[in-house]
Amino acid sequence: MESTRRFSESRNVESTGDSMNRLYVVESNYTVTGTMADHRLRIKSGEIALFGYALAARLAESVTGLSAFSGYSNKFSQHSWVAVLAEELLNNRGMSILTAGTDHATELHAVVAAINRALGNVNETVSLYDLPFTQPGDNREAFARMVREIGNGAYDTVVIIGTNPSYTAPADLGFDDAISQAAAVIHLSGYYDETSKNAGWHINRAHYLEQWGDGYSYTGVQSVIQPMIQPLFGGRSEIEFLATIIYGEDKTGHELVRETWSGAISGNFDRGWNKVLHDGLLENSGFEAVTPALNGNFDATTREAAGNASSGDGIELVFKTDPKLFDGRWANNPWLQELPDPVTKITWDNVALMSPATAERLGFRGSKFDSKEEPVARIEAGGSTFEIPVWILPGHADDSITVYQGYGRKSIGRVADGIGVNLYAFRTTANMLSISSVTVNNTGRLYTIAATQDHHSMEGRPLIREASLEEYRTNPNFADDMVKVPGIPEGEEHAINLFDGPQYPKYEPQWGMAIDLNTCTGCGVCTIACQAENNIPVVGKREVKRGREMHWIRIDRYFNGDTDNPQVVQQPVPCMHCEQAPCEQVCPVAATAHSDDGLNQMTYNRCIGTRYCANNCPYKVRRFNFFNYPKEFLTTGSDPEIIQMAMNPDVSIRFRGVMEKCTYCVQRISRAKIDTKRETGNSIKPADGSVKTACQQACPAGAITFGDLTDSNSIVSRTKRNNRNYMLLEELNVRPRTSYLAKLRNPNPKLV
Amino acid sequence: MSKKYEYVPEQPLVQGNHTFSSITALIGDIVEKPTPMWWYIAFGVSNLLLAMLLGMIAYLVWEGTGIWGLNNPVGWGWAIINFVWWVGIGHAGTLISAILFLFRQGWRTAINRFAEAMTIFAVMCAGIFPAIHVGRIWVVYWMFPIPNQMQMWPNFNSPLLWDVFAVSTYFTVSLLFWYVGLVPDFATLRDRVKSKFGRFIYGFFALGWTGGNRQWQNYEKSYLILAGLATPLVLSVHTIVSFDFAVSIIPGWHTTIFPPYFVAGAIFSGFAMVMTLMIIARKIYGLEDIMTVNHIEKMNMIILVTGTMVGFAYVMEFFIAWYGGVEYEKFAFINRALGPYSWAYWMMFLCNVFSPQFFWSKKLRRSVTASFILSIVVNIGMWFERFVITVSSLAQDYLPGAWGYYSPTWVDVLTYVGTFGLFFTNFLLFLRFMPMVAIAEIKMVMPQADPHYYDENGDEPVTANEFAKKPDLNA
Amino acid sequence: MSKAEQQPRKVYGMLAEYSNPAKLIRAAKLVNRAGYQKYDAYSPFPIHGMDEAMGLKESKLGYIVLFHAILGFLGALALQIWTSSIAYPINISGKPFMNIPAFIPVTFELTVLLSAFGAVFGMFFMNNMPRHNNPLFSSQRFEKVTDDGFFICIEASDDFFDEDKTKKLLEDAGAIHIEHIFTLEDR
Repeated sequence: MESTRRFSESRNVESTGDSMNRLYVVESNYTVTGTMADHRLRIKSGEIALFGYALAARLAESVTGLSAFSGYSNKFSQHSWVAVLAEELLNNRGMSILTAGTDHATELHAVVAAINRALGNVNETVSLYDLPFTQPGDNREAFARMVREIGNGAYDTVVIIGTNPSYTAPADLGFDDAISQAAAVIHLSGYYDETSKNAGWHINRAHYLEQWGDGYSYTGVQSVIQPMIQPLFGGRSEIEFLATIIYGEDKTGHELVRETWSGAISGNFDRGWNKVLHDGLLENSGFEAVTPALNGNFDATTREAAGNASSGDGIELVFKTDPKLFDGRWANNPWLQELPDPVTKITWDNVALMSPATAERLGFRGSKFDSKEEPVARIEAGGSTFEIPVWILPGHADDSITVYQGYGRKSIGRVADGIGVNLYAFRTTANMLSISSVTVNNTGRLYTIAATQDHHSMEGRPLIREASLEEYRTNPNFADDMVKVPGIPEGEEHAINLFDGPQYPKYEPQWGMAIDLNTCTGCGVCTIACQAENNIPVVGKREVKRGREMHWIRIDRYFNGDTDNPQVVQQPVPCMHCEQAPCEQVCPVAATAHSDDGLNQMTYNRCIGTRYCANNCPYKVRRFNFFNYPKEFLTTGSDPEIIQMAMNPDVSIRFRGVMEKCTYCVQRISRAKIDTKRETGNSIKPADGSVKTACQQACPAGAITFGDLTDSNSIVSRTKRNNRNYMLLEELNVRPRTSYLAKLRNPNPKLV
Repeated sequence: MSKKYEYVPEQPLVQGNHTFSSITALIGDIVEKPTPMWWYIAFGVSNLLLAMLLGMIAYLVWEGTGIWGLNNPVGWGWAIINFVWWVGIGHAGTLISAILFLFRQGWRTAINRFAEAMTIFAVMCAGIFPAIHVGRIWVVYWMFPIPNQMQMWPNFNSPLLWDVFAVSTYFTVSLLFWYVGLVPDFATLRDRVKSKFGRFIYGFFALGWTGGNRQWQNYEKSYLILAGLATPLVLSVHTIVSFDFAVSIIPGWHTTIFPPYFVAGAIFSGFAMVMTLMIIARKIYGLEDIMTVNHIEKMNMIILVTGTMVGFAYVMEFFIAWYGGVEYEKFAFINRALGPYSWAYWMMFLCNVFSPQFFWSKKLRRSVTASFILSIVVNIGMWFERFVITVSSLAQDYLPGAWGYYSPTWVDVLTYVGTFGLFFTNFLLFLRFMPMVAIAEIKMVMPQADPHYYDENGDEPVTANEFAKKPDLNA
Repeated sequence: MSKAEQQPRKVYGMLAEYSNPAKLIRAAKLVNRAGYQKYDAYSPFPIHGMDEAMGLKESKLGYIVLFHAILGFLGALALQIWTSSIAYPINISGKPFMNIPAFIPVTFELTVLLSAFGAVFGMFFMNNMPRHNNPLFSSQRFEKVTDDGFFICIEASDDFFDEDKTKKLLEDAGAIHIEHIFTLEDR
């Protein structure tokens, strides 16, 4: 979250005078970060280290601290990127950041740290902290050793806190067999999962929102975790659990935390403690940033690693955590299963991602528009095989396959069952991150993937308007210029109408929204926030295959340019709340009308479900309840109370046969108007910023602004005055209240 | 006297040297005789299909519209296609009755009763779909402007609401027009049937018709006015149905050509359906003297003209899309021909534009077999036209991120097949119990009905050709 | 003695049958010239020229239809204008509340609908329909009127009605059969 926020701060261009950061991404898979890149190089995961070393070698010519690479060269040394990047980095010493993904070898991380240091980024853009609570050593090796020892009967009691090794441990360790040798296995876990089944004792763990605890931020600021609610099912937090084991006492989390903090708070404890609870953090706490020096071994080990590094021939298989389910812990969370993957838009499945060229070479043909059937591959490595559907991802590196972990779980819940392929079974201690060469064959079978987007090109339409920073500076109004809207008289904002438009009362606020496409990363958090806020049902894989997902805000992702090496643009599309909404006109029973404060209202109890409104919406933001979806997901009275408690009581549940769509979070607007009326006595215009839509509130990049357009100083009014502002499908004269800020990229002229 | 001209008599509308009473017998006997076996079999099959329709509707009400193939973005599929298809077919009946009446085309009398019945039943089949395709069928009555405690009124800006009024009006007026035409024929049956129950029913519906000229005078006036009302009604109703599409803003839908295009298409498909049914009925019931090959030829000419109009409209749509320069519109049309639904598009083109062109040949125009086959082909083509319009425009419109493919489910298909059950159940009942030809009107177009046919003594002329030489009796 | 023989039955009218439309028209002309008012010529289909032969004025149905048409037109407009701009105006897509172009289809349809009601029910009204107890139905021969029979019936209530004179007139016109029609009570 923080990374997105920081990154977007420098993409938030308000005028031609503003500057932008420049993002270079080198990756095998297409990640969300890759979609934001100004330049992207797609190479196999196994070759990224080589690239890093080549860059280090080029930099070594001009900086100190990288002498390990003097005289080093590999196949990337003459790559255009290396020369250009090196020059750029050298021209911007202390103003750059290099970072490597978590799934690379330690040596590469060390080299990246060395480069940051050599470029003078340390304590400028990059801060390094000495973490007091970690021990040096290889965790993986330690774990493997432990499992072996348990298997040898070295321990009689095994306590597992929170993790799920039966599912996620490397397959060759034989974790389940090992722990069966222990006399007692105790598992503290929030879910009854695979490990719980193998454990003798399963203790239910309190959710983090139900427990007292504490923690550090990344920079060491200390904070207390405060519960929102008493444990609903009598769960124990891990500190309570550990305290019981260690001290043999049954203390509450509250007592334990206060005890721990008695050392941290100086002066009157209770006053200091209350201040921490109020502030949410301990003032003036934090780690000291350190400026480490290079370890004496660095040159030698690095030279050896660089010398041994090779990409290998053949097709590599890269294991990644799933963008939604992470390592699989959220597999039983239907919201996350149904959230479309930010880049592939796939739901309810995992796939083998590969580039178009690789797919063609291997004989896989992707699905056509009229069927979502993908070919199924059989992948073999080291004696084990698995079958997984293939998904062609333009922009993926050639000769590389990415698969996401976290699927294929069985019997841990009705949502996760039977979804996807369990790839942990193929991940061994030797190949924790990737397998350098696998055999791929076409099984000849087809499998239908439930993806929410079926067409991936903008077809030349000016939907996401984009320019380079230079073009923007030359022509600030490029976004408007991209579309000639007929019928706009000189000096007027809108096209001519055949009739007088409506008059809005002066005492009402007029709501509007702006979405900055330059800071939006397409992560999908807005979709989930909206689902949570508005009781949007989950429809399941079969219905998503039919095209009936219910998300009120969707993110359209388009590929631009060359099929092998495209750019990706993302566009969140909620209801535009058009002032002249085509949906309102065609409803025969007036179930959708326009409010005095500019909202396109959807009146559920009047809707008879002709679906003409959805047909007439050019943005296709309306969602129809084809079945009684809430019955599956929301309460029917016989469900556990917790499901009812998860619903937002301010938002009505929609029955089948009724249309629904984004409401600009009208329940929050109403609440704010009522509060304002109460406080001021006469005004119903809430103060700027007091009403945040759920999507706006959740967006980590702050891409969404919302507020009152009658207030010319409100942030949304100011944002809409930005010369990057444009309306989607403006030429239809529907006058949408939601507008977009055009995307800018900041390419390096030397790399274009 | 003036110059002598060579008089070319018109082809007689009723062939076979019929008299009034033989006409009455020919048509009346169908109703009076006992039911033939084939009718029971056909009726049984129709009832099965009707039961299937009711079953599909029950399933739909129970589960929800999700059992059809609809999705986002394609919110309208087979149900609306079927609605427009059936309504379009229905328009031919009114056109035959009303417009041909206004144009004084006597040949309409052989088929107008038949066609009007087809209209009523087709509109019934059509009317099912707007009612059942909505998500909440139990509150569909909210579309009607009935005072209610919510104090809500329908939205008169909406073409669907105009449809409610248009189709209701059309059904009512067609029913009334059909009934008015039936009154003298019910009187005929009243005076012929032997069974007491039959006399009672036909007598009841004959409303005491005596055939007196004072009655005929008002009757003829009423018929003329109804014809004059029904003509703009036919045009307006299918225009309003076309507004369901034309008033929207979706590319491929938002086009001013739709009203005339739809009306032409409706007449096209309706005549084809009348043709199909008529060819079967005239054979089974031996009505070739009344529904002659000349009638078939004239109907085929209309099919050719309206089919060519429809073909012209297809070409115009493409031209205007290109000429107008709106990229979404251009894409919509190229996509129809080359995109994922091109199979439907070319089927439509083949059936609608290409096949009626066979009727340029007089031989084929007068061939009963060719007419039968081509009439079915035309209706298939018209169904595909509605499919192409409805689905291709919705599946791929403005934002490619929202595009999605639509395909029907078995419920969609069986519901459609079931409507044929409703149609044929009604139609078979009509054939069995009502005069399928307008007896009184047929008699009106026979030469013996014209007082000038007779000589100055009021007697029948010796030969038919002598008629040409008789002086004017109305001196 | 049966009831029928006790007193002379009340005559409703005299029914004469003719063989074809031409004879019927001639007879009707003669009856009309003779001054009769309460009579009618019956046929299975309307005969061209009979209206002039009987001296009938144009049917008044048109006025009834016009009245209904105006009622339908104004009613439709009133309904839409009242519901959309007075009773419950709602901002629909920014369109004006009194959106006359949008009101046209419904107005047209209701005009046609009410006109059709006027044409049909007005015609029934003017034709005294339904009337199932018409004395004419007592005649066996009259059943031919819907098949191929052509008749004239002159009612006894007409001023000029005279048993012999009327019978002679009808016979001279070429009637092939003449009978009395009796009123309902005396059948």
